[in-house]
Amino acid sequence: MKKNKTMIICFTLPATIVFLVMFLYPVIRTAMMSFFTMASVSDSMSTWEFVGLANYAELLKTSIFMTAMKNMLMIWLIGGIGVIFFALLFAVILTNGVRAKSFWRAIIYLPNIISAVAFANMWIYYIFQKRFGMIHNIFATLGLDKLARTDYMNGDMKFWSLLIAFSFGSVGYFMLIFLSGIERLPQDYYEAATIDGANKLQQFFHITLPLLKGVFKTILTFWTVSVVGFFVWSQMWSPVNSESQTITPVVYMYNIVFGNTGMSERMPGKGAAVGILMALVVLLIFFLVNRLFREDDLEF
Amino acid sequence: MKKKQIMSVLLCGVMAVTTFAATGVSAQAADKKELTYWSMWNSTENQAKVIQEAADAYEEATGIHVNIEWKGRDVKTMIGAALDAGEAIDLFDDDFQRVVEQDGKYLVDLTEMAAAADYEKHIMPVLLDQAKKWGDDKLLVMPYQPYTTGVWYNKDLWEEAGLTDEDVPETWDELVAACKKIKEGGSGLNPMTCDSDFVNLLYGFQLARYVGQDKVMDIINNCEWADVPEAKKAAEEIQSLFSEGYMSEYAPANGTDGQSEIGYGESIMVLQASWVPNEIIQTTGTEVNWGFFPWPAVEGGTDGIEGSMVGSQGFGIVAKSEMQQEAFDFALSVCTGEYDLKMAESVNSIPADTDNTQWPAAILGAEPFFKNVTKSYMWAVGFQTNADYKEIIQEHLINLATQKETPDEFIEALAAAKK
Repeated sequence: MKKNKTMIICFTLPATIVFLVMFLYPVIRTAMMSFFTMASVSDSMSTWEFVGLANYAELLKTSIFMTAMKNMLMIWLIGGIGVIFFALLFAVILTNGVRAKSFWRAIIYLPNIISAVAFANMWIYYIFQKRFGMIHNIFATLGLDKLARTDYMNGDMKFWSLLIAFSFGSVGYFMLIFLSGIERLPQDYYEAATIDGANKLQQFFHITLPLLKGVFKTILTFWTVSVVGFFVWSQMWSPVNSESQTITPVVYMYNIVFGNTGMSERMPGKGAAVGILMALVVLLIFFLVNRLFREDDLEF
Repeated sequence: MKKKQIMSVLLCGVMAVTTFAATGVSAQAADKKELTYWSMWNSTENQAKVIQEAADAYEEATGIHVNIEWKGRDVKTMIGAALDAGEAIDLFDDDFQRVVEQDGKYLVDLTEMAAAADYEKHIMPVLLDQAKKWGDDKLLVMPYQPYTTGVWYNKDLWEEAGLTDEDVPETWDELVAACKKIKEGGSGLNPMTCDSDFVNLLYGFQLARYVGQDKVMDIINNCEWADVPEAKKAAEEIQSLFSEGYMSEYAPANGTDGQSEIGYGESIMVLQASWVPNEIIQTTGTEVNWGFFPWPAVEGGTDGIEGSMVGSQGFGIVAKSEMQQEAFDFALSVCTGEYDLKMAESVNSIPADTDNTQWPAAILGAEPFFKNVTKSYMWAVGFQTNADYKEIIQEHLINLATQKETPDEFIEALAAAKK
C-alpha cells in the first residue's frame, strides 16, 4: 500500500497539536515558573519575578518540605517492601494450583475498584476509630485495655495507620502484574527442575524470581509514580489541616500553590519547583531501576 | 443510488432544521439577561438551597436568570485561574478574608453601590472594619453567614453536673473551677472535649488573651516563642486541661468525634465556632439546649472577652462583569433581609444583616457577647498563615495535648523548628 505522507500528517496533526497544548505547554510553563515568583498560579508571565534557583534552595531549607520528602521516602521504601512482598506472595500462591483462583484474585483486587475516598473512610471509621473501630473492639474483647486505647489517628501512629491502609489497597494491583508475569513463564523450566529434584522454594528463587526481572522493573516504576503522586490518602487522613505525619510533597505543593485553610500564604513558584523536583525523583528512580535490572540475555 | 440521494437530502434537511432551531434558541437565550455566579457551596447543602431560593426570587422580580455553578469549597483554588482565563463570571463567594486578600485584584470596589443602597449600615461593624482594613479602605466584599467563636456548652448537662448560671466562667480560674466541679461532681460527664484539628483554637485563644493578636503574629513570624513567657504559661495551662482530666479521655479526637460527644451526652463544653451547634445536630441528630460563653480572660492579659475569632463568607463582584449592579443587587438580596434570615434559620448561623435581630435559638447565647466583640482574631489566631510552619505548630500542639511534650519542650521545639 502506498504511503501518503500528506494524509499521515493530516491525520496525526490534530492529536499532535492537542498533545502539545494540553501536555507539553503546562510542563514547560511549570518548569519556567519554578525559576520565578508570582502571586497566583495563573498570573501572566509579565508579572513574574525571576529568582533563579532560589525556589529550589529555599525548598531544601524548608523543614516541612523535608518532612514531606521523608514521609514519601518511608512510604516508598517500607510500603514498597510490604506491598511487593505480599503482591508476589499472593501471585505465587495463586499460580500454584490453588482452588477458586479467580475468586481469590477478585477478592485481593477488590480494594482497587473501590474509590480511594470510600476506602479511606472505611479504614478511618471502621478499623482505626479509637472508640468503636475493629482494632479497638478486638483488644477490648481480649481485655487488653491499654492496647484498646491506642489512638491510630494522632501523633506518630497516624503515619503508620495511613501507610498500612494505603499499602493494603495497593497489593491487589501489583499482584495482578506479578500474576501476568508468572503465567507467561514457560512451564518447561519448572518441569525440568521438578525432574531434577528442585522443590517449590528452589524453583521460586532460581526460576521465577530471575525471570521476573522485567516485571520488577515495571512494578518499581509504577510504585514510584503512585507514591510520588501520593495525595488523596494524605488528604483523607488530614482533611482539615495537613499535618507533619501525613504531609507529602504533593500535598505541600497543593498547599503553597493554592493556599489552604486559614489564609496561608501562596507561593506558586516554589510549588512549581516541588513539581519539577518530583519529576526528577521519578526520573532518577526510573534510571536506577533500569541500571539495577538490566535487560540480560534471558529469552523465553 | 436513488435511495442514497433521497437519504442525503433528508439528512441535510434535518441538519438545516436543527441548526435553525438551535439558532432560534440561542437568539432567545441571548435576549434574556443572565448572571453567572460561582458558589462555594455544594447544591445539596442548606446554604445552597437558600441561595437558590433567593436566585429564583431575584429572577421573578427582575427577569434576570442567575446561573449558579455549585463549585463547593474548591472555588478557592479555581476562581483566580478561571478569571485570568477570561471565564465570564459576575460574582463568586468564599471566606470573606480570602475574597479580599487573595482575589481582591479581580473585584470591583462596591463603595458607591453600597452607598446608593445604604448597605453599609446593614453590615456588622466588626466585619465591615475588617473588610475595609484588608481592602485598603475599599469595600470589596459583601459578608454573609458570619461566625463567632467561643465555648459552647450543653445547658442540660451543665445542670445535670450540678452547675448553675453562676458557674458560667468569665476568667481562666473560673473555667478551671467549673471543670473541677464537674469532674468531682460524680456525674461521669467530661467537662470539655476537643478535636485534633482545633487544639490550635484552645492554645491560640489562651495565648491571644495574654498577648493580643498582633503579638501572636510576631511570635509566629519572628519565632519568639522562647522570648515570650506567656507562650509557655499558655502551654502549661492548656496542657493542664488534659493532664487534670478535664478533657474527654478521647480528646483530641479525630474528625468531629470530639464535638459529637456533646450531642451524645458525654461531654459538656467545646471551644468552637458558631457553626458547631448545626454540625452536631447534623452528625448526632440531637437537639442540644445550647449555652455559650466567650473564651475566658486571663490574669494580667492584654485582651479580655472582647476578643474573638470572627469571620464570615462573602460575595465578591468581578470588575470585568458587565452586570456589576445586577450582581450586587442579587448578592444584597442574600446578605440582607428575608434570605439572610432564612439562611440563619436553615443552618443555625448568625444573621448578617444588622436589621435581622432574631438569632436562631441554638446560637442565641452568643448574641450579647458577639455585639461586644471589638477585637477580631484571625482563625486560630494566625497559626495557619505560614505555609512552611503551620504543620509544625499543629504537630507540637497535638504533642502538648497528648502530653508527649512538656510545655518547655513544646516551646523549644517551636522555637527550633524555624531556625
